[in-house]
Amino acid sequence: MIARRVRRPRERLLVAGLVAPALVLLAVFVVLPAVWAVAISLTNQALTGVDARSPRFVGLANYQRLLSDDDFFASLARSATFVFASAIVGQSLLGFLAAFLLGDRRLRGKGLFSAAILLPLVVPETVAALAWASMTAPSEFGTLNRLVGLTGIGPIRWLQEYPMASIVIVNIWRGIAFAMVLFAAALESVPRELLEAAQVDGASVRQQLRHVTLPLIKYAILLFLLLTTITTFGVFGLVYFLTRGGPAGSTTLLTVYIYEQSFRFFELGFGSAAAVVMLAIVLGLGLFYVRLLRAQI
Amino acid sequence: MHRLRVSAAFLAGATLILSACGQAATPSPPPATSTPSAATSAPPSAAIELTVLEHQDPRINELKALLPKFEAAMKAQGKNITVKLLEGPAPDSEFRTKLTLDYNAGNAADVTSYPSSWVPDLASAGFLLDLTDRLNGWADYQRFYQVLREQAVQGDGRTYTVPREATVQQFFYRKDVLEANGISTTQPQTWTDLLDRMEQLRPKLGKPPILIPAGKPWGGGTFDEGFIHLMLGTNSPLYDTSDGKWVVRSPGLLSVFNYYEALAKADLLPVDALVNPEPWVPTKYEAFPKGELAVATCGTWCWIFDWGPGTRGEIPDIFNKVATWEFPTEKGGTFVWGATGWVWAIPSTTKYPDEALELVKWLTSGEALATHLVTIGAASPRDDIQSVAPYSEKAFLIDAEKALTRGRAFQPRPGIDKIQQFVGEATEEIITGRMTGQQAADLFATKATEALGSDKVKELR
Amino acid sequence: MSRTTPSLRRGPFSLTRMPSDRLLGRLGSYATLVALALFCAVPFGWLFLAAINPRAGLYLELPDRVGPDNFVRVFTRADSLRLLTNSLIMAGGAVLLLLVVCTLAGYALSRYDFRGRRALLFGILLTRVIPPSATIAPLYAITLGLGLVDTYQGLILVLAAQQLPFVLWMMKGFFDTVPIDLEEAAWIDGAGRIGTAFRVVLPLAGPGVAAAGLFAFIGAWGEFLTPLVLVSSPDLWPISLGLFRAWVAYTLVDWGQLAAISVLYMLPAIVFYLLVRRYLLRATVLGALQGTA
Repeated sequence: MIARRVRRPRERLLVAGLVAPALVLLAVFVVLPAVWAVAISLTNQALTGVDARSPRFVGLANYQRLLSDDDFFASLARSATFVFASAIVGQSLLGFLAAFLLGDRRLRGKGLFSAAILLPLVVPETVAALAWASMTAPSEFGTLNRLVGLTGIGPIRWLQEYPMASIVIVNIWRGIAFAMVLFAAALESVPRELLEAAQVDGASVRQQLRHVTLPLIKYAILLFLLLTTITTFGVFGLVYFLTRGGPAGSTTLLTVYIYEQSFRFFELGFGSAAAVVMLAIVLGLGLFYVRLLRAQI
Repeated sequence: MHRLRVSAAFLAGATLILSACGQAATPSPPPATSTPSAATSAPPSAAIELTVLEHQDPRINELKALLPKFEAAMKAQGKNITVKLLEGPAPDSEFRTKLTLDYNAGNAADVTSYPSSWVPDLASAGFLLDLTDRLNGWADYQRFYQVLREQAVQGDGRTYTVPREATVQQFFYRKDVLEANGISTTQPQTWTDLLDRMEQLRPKLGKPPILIPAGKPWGGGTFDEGFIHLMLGTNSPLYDTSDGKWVVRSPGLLSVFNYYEALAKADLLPVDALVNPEPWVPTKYEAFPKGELAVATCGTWCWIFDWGPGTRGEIPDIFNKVATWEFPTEKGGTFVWGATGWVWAIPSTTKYPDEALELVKWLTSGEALATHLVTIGAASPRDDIQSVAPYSEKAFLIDAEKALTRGRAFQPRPGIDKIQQFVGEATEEIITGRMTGQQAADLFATKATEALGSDKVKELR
Repeated sequence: MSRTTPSLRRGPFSLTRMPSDRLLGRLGSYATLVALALFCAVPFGWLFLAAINPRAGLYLELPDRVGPDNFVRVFTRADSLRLLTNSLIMAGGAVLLLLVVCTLAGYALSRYDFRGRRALLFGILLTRVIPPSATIAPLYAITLGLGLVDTYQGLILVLAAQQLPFVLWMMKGFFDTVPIDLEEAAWIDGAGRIGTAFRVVLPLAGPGVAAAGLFAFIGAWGEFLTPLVLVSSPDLWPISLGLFRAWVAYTLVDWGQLAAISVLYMLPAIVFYLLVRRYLLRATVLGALQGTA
């Protein structure tokens, strides 16, 4: 422990002065919006119309409306599907596969492989979306259509015909490296002696994985699943850029729903009610995550 | 236990921080603070720079050509006014978001133009400059059609906008296609009349023959270019001006939704296109020019904008292939939609209200107006420019202008956005076959009541 | 990260044991990795090819002629150049601000203990899970109230605040690694405590501080939603907004130039990542990748 107990008042003042700018910044632009969301959600505050001039306290009316809004539940379900399919299944499996294969010490070209896998994660999300806009371009000249065209299937309007599957694949693509980084570190920590001992005992690769490796890294897996659930739940730009929630709302995730209620229909109060539901979910997961991390740091 | 402690500490920390920042409202100054385009404050000389926000390319290009002429005209009057043109994002929905956020931030452009249906919400929010007295002092304003001037009056009895063009909408039909298939091209008088003809045409065309916008992807157009033309053909009001309430359930509404159901059941509407983004592309821009779609609701602009020479949906020899019907009604009788299209508006925060209005007046008069009307293919909102070129050369626009006197229109009221949104949702449920007309009418009534509040709606039996 | 005993040997292992398996297994490994790498890299093919193709469209194609025309246009056209400078000002401003406030706070949290310090630290970390996409409406209302909408200052403050929890944690961690004895020696020589901190501690924690700054830069540089809502004037658009507006306009797009801007846009992110790769794991655990993942 490097930190020393603050005792003298002067020191106390100094510490407060050092910490204050950061805390104020964080409080005003990160914490306050979350708290404010709760406050606004109890009003009919709007960006246009009579309600913009004189917002009123409406109690839980926004939440009642939310409960009877099928679109809200549909967007929640879409977010759940999106998180499950792209993060929990896709990113985890492919990320683990990448980490596992790249962990082989005799493998050549490791740098090149991991660089390629990292690239989608590193670039700004608008660039990632633009790259996929070209990939999924609906005419026969789109990259994906050229690929499937080789099998005689032809041209598919990916973002119109398979919108949800498309954005799931794009998000898997973006997040493989995320899983890979965490899993690689975890695999790295598995003692080689244990694996070698298992090999001597005649265990197959699959058995080694199941009985030696996975039990040892289950903590890292849990950590990743929590983290990726939280971040994937918040994905907005990648999807909004590509589909703007369409076609016919079929890619309107909860984040897109919140944005649309707030900035397309200009109902800040109602949009904030949806935001509060989302905040409750991520903060619940976040508390769990921080608690796990606390045991580590 | 642990989790509880963390959350308690977090909450405590948050409240502490919040109360602290209540006093220190503005955080530490940022390092880089050079704002290049800071608000223009008038220098001692009388030079004034107005800003104009415009979106959609044809309108932007038109202003690029017109604005220097305005500057020259002002110079001739000894006024030093320059105009800076700001280009907004192209899709209406994106533009509307930008516009509304600008109004909220108090940095809206001095002069802006947009569809008249956006006005009630913006005016009632207090964003727009009240032009009533200024317009009363402008003799030319009396030359605007009365029906348009009446529509410009908001719920509070004040006028905030100047009509930029008049919109006349009706059914456009492929005369050549109907004739080739032996379908009558006389004016249909009732909805049933129209439905019968379309059912006859359906098997011959092999495709859905009629486009009445429906569903969510078309946005406000589902209401403005489809639903309302049916609604006005019933005897039920959608909004009761006497008590300021929306009528969210009525026999007329049910008839309209039932008519959508009848059209959908007979497979007469291009549903695939309607439930996908940019539904107007495969229908108006592609199928109609090819003759694979026979009837579509459209306005005067379609002659030029959608199917005129050089457009992507160009129909060669259009005046021999396309003709118009007025809208039939539920029980018989016809009408056209006649209303203000886009309007000019000035924000209440402008520094130069008089100069801004000067620009609006100039743009809605004489040659500038005539040029504009031809550029976008709209009828004149005022009766005194029929002889001004290039408008004078477009007989089909002048014909439409003359129909304005027997037009019907629906005047947007506060809450119109939500009504439009729910019309989109209800019609989408119908055309996709998920709901009957009755179920959609129930959905519409429920949603509208929830969103607008039960004190702002009523039901008619 | 591990809970196993440190005496054991760790590290890379061999996947297979039998010679016959080995060949098959390795072929399988390579095939899988090549497929994964292609899946990840192919979408960028269009961006790079279109950027050097003076007559590029939206589709992947080999250029007839290769030339820097698109890049030249990016740097000679005022509007695209302004996108680049705006992004630099916003992300750069946010990072400078962060380096100042987080150095101060990180040092204090590393060196001084006080009641509730640990809870405060984890509370700060917890704020990292708040998705900007959930709180964007109140954030807009707040910045509007402060008169910061559509300004550089507003965006810099917000971008900095979004990256703050992560940078603060990184910084505190780096300060923790500098032994306090070094400082104490300097105090005995009569130097002031804060002066010592800057002269002795900062240089030693320097590489780590720089890494935290670079991560924060990548985050702020790529941000899309925040400028989408908080910035309106085209004069202030960062690259992310410029790309979106151009893409939404669709029919009027100069694809080659768009690709060229995109390539320029992703370069700093890639280069900085290469520089800070060894901190990647820690940054990931602290949620540096939120909004990008």
